[in-house]
Amino acid sequence: MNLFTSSIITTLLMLTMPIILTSASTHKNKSYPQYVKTTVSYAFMISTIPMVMFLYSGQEVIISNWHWMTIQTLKLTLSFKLDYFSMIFMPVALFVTWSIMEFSIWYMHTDLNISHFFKYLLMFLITMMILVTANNLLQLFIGWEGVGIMSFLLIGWWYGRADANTAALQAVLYNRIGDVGFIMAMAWFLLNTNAWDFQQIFAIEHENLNIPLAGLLLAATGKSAQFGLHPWLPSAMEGPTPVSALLHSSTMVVAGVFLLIRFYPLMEHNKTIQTATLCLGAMTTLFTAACALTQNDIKKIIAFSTSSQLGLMIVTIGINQPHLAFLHICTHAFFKAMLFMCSGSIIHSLNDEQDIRKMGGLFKALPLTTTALIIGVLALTGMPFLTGFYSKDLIIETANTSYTNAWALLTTLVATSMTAAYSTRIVFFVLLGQPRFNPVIIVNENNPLLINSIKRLLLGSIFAGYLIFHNITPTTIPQTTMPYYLKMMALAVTMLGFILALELNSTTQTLKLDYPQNPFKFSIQLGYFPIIIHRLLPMMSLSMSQKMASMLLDTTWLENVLPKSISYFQMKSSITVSNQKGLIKLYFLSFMITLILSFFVLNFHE
Amino acid sequence: MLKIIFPTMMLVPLTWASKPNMIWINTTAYSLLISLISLTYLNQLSDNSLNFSLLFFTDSLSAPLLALTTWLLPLMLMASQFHLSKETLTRKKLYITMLVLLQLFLIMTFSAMELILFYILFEATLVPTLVIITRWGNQTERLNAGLYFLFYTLVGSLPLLIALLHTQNNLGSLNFLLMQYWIQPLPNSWSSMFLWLACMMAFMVKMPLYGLHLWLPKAHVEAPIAGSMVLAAVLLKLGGYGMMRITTLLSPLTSFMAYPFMMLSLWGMIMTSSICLRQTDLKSLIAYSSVSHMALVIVAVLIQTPWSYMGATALMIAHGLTSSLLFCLANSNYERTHSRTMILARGLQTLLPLMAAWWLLASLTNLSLPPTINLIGELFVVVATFSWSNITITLMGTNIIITALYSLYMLITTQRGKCTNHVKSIKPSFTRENALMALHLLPLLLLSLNPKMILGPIY
Repeated sequence: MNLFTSSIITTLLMLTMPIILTSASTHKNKSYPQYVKTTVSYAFMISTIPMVMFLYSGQEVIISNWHWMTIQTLKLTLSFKLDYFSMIFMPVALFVTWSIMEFSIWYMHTDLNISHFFKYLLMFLITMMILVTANNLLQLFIGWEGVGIMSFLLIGWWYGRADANTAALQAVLYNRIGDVGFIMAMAWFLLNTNAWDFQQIFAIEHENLNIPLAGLLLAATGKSAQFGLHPWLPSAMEGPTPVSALLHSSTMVVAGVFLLIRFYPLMEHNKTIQTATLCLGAMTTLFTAACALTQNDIKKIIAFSTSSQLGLMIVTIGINQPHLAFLHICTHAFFKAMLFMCSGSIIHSLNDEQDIRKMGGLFKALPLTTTALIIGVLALTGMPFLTGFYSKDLIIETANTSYTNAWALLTTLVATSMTAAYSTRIVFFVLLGQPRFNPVIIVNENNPLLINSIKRLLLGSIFAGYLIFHNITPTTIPQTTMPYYLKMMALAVTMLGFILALELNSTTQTLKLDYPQNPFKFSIQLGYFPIIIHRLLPMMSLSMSQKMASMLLDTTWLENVLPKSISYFQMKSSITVSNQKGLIKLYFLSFMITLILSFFVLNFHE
Repeated sequence: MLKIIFPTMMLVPLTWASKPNMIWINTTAYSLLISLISLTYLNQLSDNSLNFSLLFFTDSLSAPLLALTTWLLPLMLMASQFHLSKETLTRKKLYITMLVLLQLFLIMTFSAMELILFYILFEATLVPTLVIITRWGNQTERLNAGLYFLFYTLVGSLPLLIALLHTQNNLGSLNFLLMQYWIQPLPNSWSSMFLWLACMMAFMVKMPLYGLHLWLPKAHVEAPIAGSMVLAAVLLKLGGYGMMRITTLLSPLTSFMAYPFMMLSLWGMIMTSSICLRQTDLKSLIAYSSVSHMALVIVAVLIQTPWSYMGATALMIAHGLTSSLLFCLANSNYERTHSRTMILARGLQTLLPLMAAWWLLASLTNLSLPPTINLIGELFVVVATFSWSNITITLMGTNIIITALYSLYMLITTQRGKCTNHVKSIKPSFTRENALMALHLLPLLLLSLNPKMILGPIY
C-alpha cells in the first residue's frame, strides 16, 4: 500500500510546485499558464492511481505527519484522511480544473496578469484539496477559510469595477457568517469531546449533538449558498467566467455540502438536524429555481441552477443519503463546469454580451458550443443515461420512497420541474430562432484550447456519472422496488417542465404583457431579497454604528462623562475657589488680620 | 539581561557620534543585532523562568513580548526615516534617542522581577512616548492627544501605586517569583474589592478597556509613525502583561469582580469594530481595531483558564505585529497622498502592486485567516469564552464578522477601485518600505509554523 499514500502526497505536492517556483523565472515568461495547466493534468493522472487502488481494496488510510503542536490534551498534526470521499473527489476536481485552466488560457489571454490569475486559480484548487483531505477540524478550517479568501480575490479580479468589489465583499461576508457556525462547532467539539480529529469525534458518543450540528449546518449554509445566505452566489458572477466555472463546479460551493457529508456519522442519528437540513435544502432548491426562471443574464441563470442543485444535495443529506449527495457533487461538477465554459465561449464570441435576449440562432455559428450546451442542459435536468441522471434520478426516487415530509418532497419535485423549464429557456433563447446580436461580430470557436477543454468535459458529462455510480457504496440502501408512478415521477416532472417552458416560450414570443405580474416580479427581483436584506440590514447596522457607537457613545457620552466633565468641574471650582479678583485693598486688609492674629498668638502664650 | 540592556543604552552614544549620513543605518543595524540577541530568550528550557539577577527575569510570558519590543525598534527606525527627512540633524538624533529610551524602559518593564520596579518603569515609558507624540506629531491636535494619553494612564495607574505599597506591607515582598508561593487568598470585603480595582484599573486603561479608550484613537492618530507603531505593538501589551501578572495577587476576587468588565469588553468589542465600519480616517480605523482586539485579550485574561491565557498571549503578539504593520502601510499611503483619508488613496493596486500584496496580507492577518497566529489567539479566546458561557458565541461571532468586514473594507477602499488622477504622480514604493513590511510579516508567518513559542507560561 505504499504506492497509495505516496502517490497521494505526490499529487498534493505537485500542485504546490508552481507556487513554490514563483521565485524562479518561470512565472515571468508567457508559458506559466501552460505550465500550471500541465501540472494539474499530471496531478489528475497521478491521483487516479490511488483512486483505483482504493476502489479495488476499499482501504481507508489516514496519513498523520508533522506534529504541529500539542495544547494540553489536544494534539494537532498535519493529517490527511484518505477515504471514499476524498479519493473520489480529488480526481474529479483535478479533472474539471484541468479543463477549466485550459479554457482560461483561451479566455484570459488578453489579460496582462494572466500568470497571476493562474496562481490564484491554483491556490483556490489547493485550498479545496486541503479542505477535502483534512482529517482534523483545524486543517479543514484552513482549507475552508482559504477557499473563502481565494474566492474573494478571484471574484474581485477586475478590481477596477465597483460591482466586482461589492460581489467579492458579499462572498466573504456571507461566508463569514457561516464561519461563525464552524467556529462554534469547533469550540463545542473541543469542550465536549476534547478532540478535533474526525475519527475521535465520531468515536465518542454524545447525548445531544444539536449545537455543533446546527453550527455545521450554518457553516454549510454560508458556504453552499443555502436559503438565507444565498445572495452572494449570483453576485459572484462578476468574476471572470473561468472563476465562476471553478467556483460552481468542484470547489467552494460544494465545500459546505462536503462538510455535512464528512459529518454524516453524527448527523444520521439526529432527526432534528436532519429535518432542518431537509427543509433548508428544499426551500433553497425551489426558491433559486424560481429565481432562475426569469433571469436574462446567461451566467446568472446557470448560477441559480447551481444554487438549486446545491439545495438538492442538501435535501439528499436531509434524507440521510450522504453518498448520493456526494455522487451528485461529482456528477454536477462535470456538466456545471461545462455549462459555464459554454456560456464563456458564447459571451466571448459576442463581445462580452451576457443577455440572452440579445443572442439567438447560435446553433449555426457555434456548433460545438451548442452541442455541449445542450448536452450539459440535458444532463442538468437528469435526462436518462447522461451523467446527471445517475445521481438526480436516484435522489428523487429515494426521496419519494423515504419517510420524508410531503412538503419537502413536493417542493423538490416542483424545483426539478423548474430546472427543466429554465434549461429550455436557455436553449430557446440562446441557440434557437433568429440571431439578435450585432451582425458585424465575427463568431469563432476554432481554438483548440477552447474546443479540447469543452470536449473533455463533454465526455465527462456523458460518461462520468455511469462510472462513478458503479463505484458508490450507499450506507443506507435505497429502495429497489417501487410503484411505477414513483419510478417515473422524476422523468415525468422534468418532461412536464420542458413541455410547459417550450409552449410558453413559443406562445409568449409574440405576445406583449401590459404590466408585469406579481410572480414575475418576485422572481426577477430575486424574491425581493437583495432589496430588503441588502438595503435594510446594512443601512440599519451602519447607521447604528455611526449614530450610536461613534457619535452617541464615543464622541458624546464617553468624551463628556470623563475628560470633558472633569476639566469643566476643575475649571469651575478653580474659578470659584480662587478669589484673586484684583481687590488690592481687601487683600491688604486680610494681611492685617493675619498680622493681628499672629501678634495675639505669639504674645499671649503661657 | 544586561546583555540587551547595555547595548540598548549604548545606542544613544552611537546615535550622537554617528556621521550625519550614517545615523539611520547605524542605529537600525545595531538595534537589529540587539533583537537577535533577545531571540535566545524565546527558548525557555526550564518550566519556570530564566533568572538573570535579583532584578530581572524572563519567563515564557514576557520573553515573546521582550523579543517583540526589541524587534520593533529597527522597524520603527526604518519607518520614520521619511517622516524626519526634513528635520535638522540634532532633532533626528533626539528622536532616535527617545525611541531608544523607550525601548530601554520597555525591556526593563517586561523583565522586571519586582512589582514596584515594574510600576516605576511602566510609568517611565510614558515620558518618551509623550515626547514622541507631542513633539513629532503632525497636527496641532497632538497636544490634546498627549494630554489625554498622559492623564488617562496616570489617573488609572496612581491607585496601583497605593495598592502595591499596601500589598508590600502585608506580604513583605512584591517579587513575582516569590509571590506565587506566598500569596494568600484575599478576604471577601469591600477593601479587597477596591484593591482589585486599583490593581486592575491601571492596566485596563492601558489596554484599553472600552469606555476608557478615548486616549487611544487620539494618540494613535496624532502620533508620528514610530509612535503609533510602538503604541499599538508594545505599549498596549503592557496592560495585558500587567493584568496577567497581577491577577495572581487577586486570586479569588477576579472570578466575580470580572463580570462588569467582561461585559463591558464584550460590548465594547462590537461597538469599536462597528465604529471601524464607518471610519474614513485610516489611522483611526486601525486604532479602533486595536481597541476591539484588545477587548478580546481583556476577556481572555479575566476568564483565567489555561486556554484563555494562551489565547491572550498569542493574540497580543499577533496583534502587535499586525497592527504595527497596518500603521506602516497607512503611513506609506500618508507619505504619498498626504492625507489619512482612505478614499483619496483608492486604486493604489494599479500603481503599487507589491504594496498591494502587503496590504492584502496585512488585512488577512488582521481578520485572522487560518493558520496565522492571529487565528490561534482568537480561536483560543473564542473557545475559552464559549466554555465560560455558550451565549457569548453570538457576540464573538458578530465581532468575527465585523472584523472581517472592516479589514476588507479597508483593503478594498485603499487598493481596489479606479485609480484617481491625483495619485498618478506619486513616488514608487522604496525598498526600505518593502523591507519594513516584509520584516513585519516574516515573524508572523514563521510563528505560525511553531506557535507554541508564544503561547505563554501555561502551555
